[in-house]
Amino acid sequence: MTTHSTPVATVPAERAEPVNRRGLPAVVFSWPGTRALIAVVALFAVSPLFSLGTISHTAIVSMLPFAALTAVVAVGQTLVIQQGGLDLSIAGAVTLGAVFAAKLGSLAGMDPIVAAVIAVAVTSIFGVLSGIVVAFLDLPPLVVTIASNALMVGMVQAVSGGFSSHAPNQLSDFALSRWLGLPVLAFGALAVVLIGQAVLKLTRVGRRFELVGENRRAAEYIGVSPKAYIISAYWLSALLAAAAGVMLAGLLRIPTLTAGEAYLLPSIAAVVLGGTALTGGRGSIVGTALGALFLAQLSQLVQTFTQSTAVQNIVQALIIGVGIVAQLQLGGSTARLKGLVSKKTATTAPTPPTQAPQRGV
Amino acid sequence: MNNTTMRPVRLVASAAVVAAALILAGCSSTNSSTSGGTSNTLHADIAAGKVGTVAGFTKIGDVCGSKPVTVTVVDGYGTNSWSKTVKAEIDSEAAKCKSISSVSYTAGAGDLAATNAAITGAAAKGSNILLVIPDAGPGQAQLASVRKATKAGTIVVPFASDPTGKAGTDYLDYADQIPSFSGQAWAQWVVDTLGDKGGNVVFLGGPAGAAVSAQEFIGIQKVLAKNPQIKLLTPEPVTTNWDPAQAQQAMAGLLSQFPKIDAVIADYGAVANGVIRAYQAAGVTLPLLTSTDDNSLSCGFDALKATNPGYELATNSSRTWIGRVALRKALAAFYGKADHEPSLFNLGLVEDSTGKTADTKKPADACLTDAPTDASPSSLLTSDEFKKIFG
Repeated sequence: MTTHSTPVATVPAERAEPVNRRGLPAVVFSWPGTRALIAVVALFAVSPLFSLGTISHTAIVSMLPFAALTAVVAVGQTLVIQQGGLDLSIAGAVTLGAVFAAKLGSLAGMDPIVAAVIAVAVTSIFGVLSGIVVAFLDLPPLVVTIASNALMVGMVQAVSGGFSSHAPNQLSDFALSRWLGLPVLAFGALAVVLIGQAVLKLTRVGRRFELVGENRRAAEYIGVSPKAYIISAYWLSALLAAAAGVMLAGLLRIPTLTAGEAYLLPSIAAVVLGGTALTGGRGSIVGTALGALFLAQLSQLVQTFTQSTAVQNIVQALIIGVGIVAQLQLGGSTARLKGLVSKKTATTAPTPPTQAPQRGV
Repeated sequence: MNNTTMRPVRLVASAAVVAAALILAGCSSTNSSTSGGTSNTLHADIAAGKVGTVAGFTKIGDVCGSKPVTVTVVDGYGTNSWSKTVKAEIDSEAAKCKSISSVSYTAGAGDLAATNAAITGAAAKGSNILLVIPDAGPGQAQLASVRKATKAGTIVVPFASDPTGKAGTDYLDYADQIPSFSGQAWAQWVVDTLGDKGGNVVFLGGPAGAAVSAQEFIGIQKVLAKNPQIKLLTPEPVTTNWDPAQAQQAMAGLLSQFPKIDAVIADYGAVANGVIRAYQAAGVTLPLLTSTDDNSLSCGFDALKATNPGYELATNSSRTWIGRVALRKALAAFYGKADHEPSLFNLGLVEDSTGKTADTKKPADACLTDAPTDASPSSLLTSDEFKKIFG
């Protein structure tokens, strides 16, 4: 019983202090998700200045499925990053999920739903393996997930025989279907994000998960075993990546054997843009989803004012870079932003900036 | 003591190695020399660079000899179904010449260093014939390795992607389509089908800076320059890396940028499939589409036409058979035989849903019902051979 109450009590106590000191608008602004939302709103606001087409129904409907998939993958990445890790096996997991779903689903007599479940279940085993190695052997997550990525890429080759197969029609029709005029994949991603955020912020398991990421030793002291939480982060990351892979197979109809590679860097960029610190600890899944939406719209926007891939990549990288630096620098408090405007505030409030990167970024 | 006695032994040994190497080199040059006495890694009676059509094909039996010969195929990309079909066509052709003792294959997967290593590696292993698709990067970036392999005594025939350099100087011959001709054929079909009212057209190519796409684009521009009623919306080929997934995203971007697109030209059938998916995802009806042939395009045409009345399709051959030509030319050079078939092909349309182009099939007739969706209807593989590679 005591172990239950302790972490729950710690978090509000920590939060209560800034509420008194800073007032509601400052607190709301200090939420990482708020800053991501401001970035998304600003991006959509400037989009019509470059090309009216980028906010047309066609453009939004074309962009949303890809944003949705990036968001789902990035939610898994958020969980791993919250545990102080980094999942570099995203590419392999997405591709393996896609290839499995297409290959198994197109077999005669195989129900596409069963194929999708097998694809997600088998791929998620690789996540469990990564988690076990990271949690029990304490090996660096980068190395471990590169290795599990290599395993999954090998598996992709073995399952596919070196070429892509067609996703079953039911899957491909479902991935393109609409609900209330919007792509069904967007609703799927929304569900994943809302459930993820609710579990993380409103349940005991979620609070403990964040505690383990923030301070593993503290979690151990109060009787929370970190290993299960670490393993579950990698498991969920692989599971969500595989689920996104299954939907990608449906969306593309012929998933290529490198289809997942396009999701690794955006997944990390979305997490950081969404305001989760790469050092681990507290994170915002809603922020991550907004980060994914930002990236998808940015890619669409950049594409409309230049066809040159080189320029597209440079412009996109610059904007993402600025976004990440802004997110990291502003941290969990408005003090730095105020500091930019008023020298006085910056000198009178020296402490929040130093705390910021550890806590709320 | 030991040192002094060892030195002469080493000298003799190294002299023996050098002599053996010279003898071997001599052997290979005598084996591979034509009556004119020049090494046939560069020159042979094979009509290098001849331009023509598929009607001029020779039979492999005419260029096959009795001496065992080893063949290596290096594909700079090698990860899509086009590459898989090309490889199967070479295997199928090689099976008809019993003297070919082995055909080994390496895919560079777009990695320039890996492709160059595979090219020089094939020569180092003493492969008699090396067929290369130098598309892991610009042709020039693979030319040095091609030259090295040629110098090492291997008969090198680059195909399907411009290696730059010169036939007879850097390699034996280069077999391919003439990309600008394909570009002209596609653009002319768009011009004819859109008629006097004209419209807007976009062109989707392969990797950024791909030589094939750039040359096709020149052909397209040439035709459209004479037809100002057609507006080319893309100032350069749109990058897709010949990947349907990337093509789908690129097309989604184009759809949001340009509210009115009347025709799409894509230089690879799988890319055209990505284009169709982008239209379906956006809920926009399909326009005119022209590309290289692809079984799913042909077989799926009627169903799409039913829901997209404005949709029309025209394709030319995706030339998956070009490796056969490269192999025959190399064999002719190896055995000192003559092969006067064309190396460079003008590929006109083979399929036109409007039925307006002469000597073309309707998509439903081009569709290979027994073959998988990835098959290329203009391929020379049988349905059984297709099933073997695509399962």
